[in-house]
Amino acid sequence: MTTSTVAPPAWWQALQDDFGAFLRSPLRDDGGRFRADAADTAKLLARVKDDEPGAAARLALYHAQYWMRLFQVLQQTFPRAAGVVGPFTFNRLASAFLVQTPPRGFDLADIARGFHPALQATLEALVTPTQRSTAPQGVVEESLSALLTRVPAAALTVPAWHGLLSLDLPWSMLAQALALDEACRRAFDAPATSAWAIGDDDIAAIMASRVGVRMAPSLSIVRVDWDLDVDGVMPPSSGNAVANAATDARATAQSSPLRSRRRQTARHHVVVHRIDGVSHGTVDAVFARVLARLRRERFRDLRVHFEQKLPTGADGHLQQAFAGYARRAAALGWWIGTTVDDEPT
Amino acid sequence: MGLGLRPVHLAALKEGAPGLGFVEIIAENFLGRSELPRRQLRDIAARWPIVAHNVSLNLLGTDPLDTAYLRRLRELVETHRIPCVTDHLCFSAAQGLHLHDLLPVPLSSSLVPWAVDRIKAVQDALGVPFGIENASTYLRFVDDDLSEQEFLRQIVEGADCQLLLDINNVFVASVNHGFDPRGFLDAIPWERVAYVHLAGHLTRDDGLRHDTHDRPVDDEVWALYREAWRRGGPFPTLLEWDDHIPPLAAALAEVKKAITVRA
Repeated sequence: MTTSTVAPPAWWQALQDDFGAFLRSPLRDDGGRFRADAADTAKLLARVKDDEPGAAARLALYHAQYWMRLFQVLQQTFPRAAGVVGPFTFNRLASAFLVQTPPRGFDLADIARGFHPALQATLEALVTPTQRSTAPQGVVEESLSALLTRVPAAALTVPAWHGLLSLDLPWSMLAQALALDEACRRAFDAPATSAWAIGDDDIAAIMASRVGVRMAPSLSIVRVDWDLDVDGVMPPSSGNAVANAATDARATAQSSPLRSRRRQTARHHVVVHRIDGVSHGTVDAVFARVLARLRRERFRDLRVHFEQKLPTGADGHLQQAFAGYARRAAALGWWIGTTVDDEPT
Repeated sequence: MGLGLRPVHLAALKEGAPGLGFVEIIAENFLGRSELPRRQLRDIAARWPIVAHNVSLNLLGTDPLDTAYLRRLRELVETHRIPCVTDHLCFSAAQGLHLHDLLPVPLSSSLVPWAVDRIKAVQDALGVPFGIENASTYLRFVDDDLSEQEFLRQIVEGADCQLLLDINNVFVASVNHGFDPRGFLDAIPWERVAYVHLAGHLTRDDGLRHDTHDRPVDDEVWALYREAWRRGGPFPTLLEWDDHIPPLAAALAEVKKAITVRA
């Protein structure tokens, strides 16, 4: 690339900096809608031609576009979490996150990378183990409020957190929704893998612990106790997101959080990036444990674990069940081969 | 006739798209961490010529050009033998932070050398012809001392680059800033036009035209397209549709209206 010999005018740099700071200033939280009418525009308006009507409204359009676009990316990447808390509350969380972590790269999808750890860590820190196990009503309100109020007051204009965060849902529901969304996001970024034509010899070698199992690098297993089904498991990969996010009503409309219910039994979602795209399926608790333990252990360790729980003489049943699991895991691209290293992948 | 590639159309495209001559990709969608979009693009590239349209080069910004991004873009260009790359005459980042928008720039003669220099550097980095697109804008600045068409002309001639003329953007800007779009077309260096864009826009309650790409092309934009064809045709024509995207057949029908309009 040629080296530039031209310097930009100093006034142009200053104008861009002012414009960027203006866009990044949070929208006004108006108890159900975000409004682009609170930022200090005097500096910019002094640079705008005054023969055009509604200059402030025109600036506000750019301001709203910036935030709606980022909200939309996070909503699309975390659709279940957005469904759990509702779009408006979700956008408040997103706003808090983005004020602290503004976009630094050209890839819009990158803005979602730190969202799950930031929110999860905050919730983990705020909710005591006792609260977590009993999941009392009110814990989520407390947690989200604490997260949002960590943002400097000058950066957000929020009149009354508690009145807006009247969430009638347990902590685990939000945490699990976030975890499942994050698993899909990470799978999307990870390399894709194909189905493995596993043979009887492979299964025998795994069961003899001569080899370990090589897992798909995109594989995640997420326990979900709640009915969190919402459409869309794919992170955003839209067309021209720079053009299309500005008018997304979903980003501003107040709507109710998802009214979910706890399932009788937990579901274990297995998320993986296969050649044909990101997919997720559900498995029973035993299969989930097999998948999780063989990530770090050989079959002999797994056998010990199960033998302790099986009645005498059930070894044949264990072998048959494992062979079935192995064939399914290989066919679905969850397992992609064997490893002879000490530590399975 | 061309169409902007959108994921919602991928399955339908596998079944074929009669009359579709080329496909335009938003390059950033294929430069990220995930290999899935790039894998999907291979199938498309095997069937149609591809051009790359960008939204994040930050052409008129003052932050340094992102060399890593340009390297990835060049790899994409070489992999799919992309003959032409474009981006907008705007800024999209400042102070090291991306703003993910096509932000307006003052139409100032003092910015022309900066723009020319940056575009030459991009062309050099990509190794293929590069073009700039006129953006939709909602603001003008006190620093303006040129018309938009004169600003564009000086830059494309100074940088010796191509022009991606967005007819919808010309119309949107003409209404928002009160100039004659036909006069704009009169000043276009047509020999530099690589192709033209069409898209739909929203008319707000306050009369402002908002470039939303979420609906069919406005009748007044079609009329301006006809004027453009008379002045500079023939040229390839491409439709962008980014929200409330219709089925592939409907999108193709919309872009094929161009044939009737210009007849």
